[in-house]
Amino acid sequence: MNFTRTEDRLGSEEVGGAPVDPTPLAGTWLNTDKKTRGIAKLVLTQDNGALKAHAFGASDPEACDWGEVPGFAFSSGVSSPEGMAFTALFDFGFMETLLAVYLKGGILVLDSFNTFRDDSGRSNYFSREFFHS
Amino acid sequence: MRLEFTRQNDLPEADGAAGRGTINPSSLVGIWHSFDTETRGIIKLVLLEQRGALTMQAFGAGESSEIDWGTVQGQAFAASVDGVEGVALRAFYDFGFLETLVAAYLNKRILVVDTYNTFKDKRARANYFSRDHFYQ
Repeated sequence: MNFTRTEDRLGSEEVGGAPVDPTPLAGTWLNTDKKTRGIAKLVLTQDNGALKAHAFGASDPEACDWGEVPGFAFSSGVSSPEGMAFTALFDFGFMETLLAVYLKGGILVLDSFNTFRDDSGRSNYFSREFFHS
Repeated sequence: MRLEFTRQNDLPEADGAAGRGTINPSSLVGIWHSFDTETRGIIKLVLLEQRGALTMQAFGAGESSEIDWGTVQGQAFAASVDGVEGVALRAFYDFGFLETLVAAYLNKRILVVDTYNTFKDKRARANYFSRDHFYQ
């Protein structure tokens, strides 16, 4: 079995956890910071094991609907089928936002990696936000 | 120029105050060691700046020695659209049987490194997330 580090390997008694079940991630997640300037709401749904992420950016007077994109679920280890993290990529044309997200104690911890393509002079930026269901 | 945006954070604090798009990755550069000396994940990260570009070389924990993942391009990120100092990075490894997204950020002088690991070899292993903490 190929591996890049020990944690890639299944123990001799272990069974692989694939496919990862995204159900624990599903739901409507609201930013714990009601005055956020980042992502206000995240709606995660699953359909036949496929995760979908629908995000809403903070804006005035109403949130920016980012639309829905596929999400990719991850578990806590090679033998676990239970989804506890996911990634999703939003391509807005003028910028790209990669969401890298994990669940911790009922809180969804969201990192976004934001890359501009529009020569506006804005720096690519990182943000970290917390969500509750 | 009217800037497109997806959330308020995409907009500079003041007109003309954008970070000019160039991020200094020097805060990220160095040799980073895992706090967990018995880690089963990444043991060491070497981050270098070469002509303004960030590179990453990672080493995984093997059975008896470390596994050199090779060097890939990294991308640095600032804390805001006005920022110039790198506070986070991402990099991507394609091992053929496995893809690993490395998503990391600085918390004071600790580098917090998350990996999102996707198997392509259909051997029943679950795609998995891991998190490690590193110091210089």
